[in-house]
Amino acid sequence: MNIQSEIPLTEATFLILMSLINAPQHGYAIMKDVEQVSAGRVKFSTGTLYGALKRLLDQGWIARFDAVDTVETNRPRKMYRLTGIGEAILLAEVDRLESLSRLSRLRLNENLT
Amino acid sequence: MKALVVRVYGGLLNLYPQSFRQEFADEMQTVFSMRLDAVQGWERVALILLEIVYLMPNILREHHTQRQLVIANSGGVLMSIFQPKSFYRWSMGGSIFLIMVVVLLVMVPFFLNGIHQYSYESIYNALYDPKGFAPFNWGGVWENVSMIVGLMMLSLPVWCGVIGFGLGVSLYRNWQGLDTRARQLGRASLLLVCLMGIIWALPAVQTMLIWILD
Repeated sequence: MNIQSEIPLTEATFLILMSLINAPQHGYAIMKDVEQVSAGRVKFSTGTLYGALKRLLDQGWIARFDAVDTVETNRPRKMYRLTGIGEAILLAEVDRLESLSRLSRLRLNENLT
Repeated sequence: MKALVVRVYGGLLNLYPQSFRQEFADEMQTVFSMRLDAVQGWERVALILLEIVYLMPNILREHHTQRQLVIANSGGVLMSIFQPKSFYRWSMGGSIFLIMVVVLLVMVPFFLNGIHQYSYESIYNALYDPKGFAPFNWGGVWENVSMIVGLMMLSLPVWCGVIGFGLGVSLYRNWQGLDTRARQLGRASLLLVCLMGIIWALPAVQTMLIWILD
């Protein structure tokens, strides 16, 4: 798989993958996390979130498994975690954004001085 | 009330392709319910409306994706049968058709009333005060009921698009023999439209009687 051909990612995809970096999450937790990290700017509808999750599952960037949600409902929930491919793609996107950001900052500084 | 909204939302999820529904519908319903718990008042109303509005393009997209997959897997053989455009034609067509029918149904008594009063201003006035307008003015103890019915009728074109969409999708899916659960939804939509028709017929007949007997 050519990782470079998969980037740039859409903001929605990027934010979903980002919310799964630290630990597996269920759908509602992903939704809340995305809202929080985007400072309320990105709010998924339930349909939009699950449409995106399905595509990511089909592409093999995330995986789904059953687990008990011990934090909120204490009920069995479907959890989502980042796969190796998903992590590699996210890393490639972060690198791309970092290099763009570095270059932009450099040029802005040059312009200011 | 919340339970009813969640049930309605669950019903709308039936419009998703079967594979998607089997995989995600229960989970989506749970998440929707949790989201409702997190908000109150008008925020809750806004959330319900937004969820329903955003559901429609997402349903369309999933059907389109599934259809593309079928076409890709068939190696192009099924291209002539599974034209993605058919789906859009049926769903959007259903929506537009129902809106047009309802607009016509709403307009006819207005015009009848206009002829009766020799003034088409009544159409304009009715939009602001359905109660003061003959087809919806049942008088006496029915005053409040007629007000509610009047407002329901006047807003029909707005939300009949959604019912028509469901109806179109159901008809299309039945036609393709894709899903048996959609048949129930189709029947429910038809029943709803018939019920609205009956409710509508009462004041319409009254108006016509006034017009004929006058």
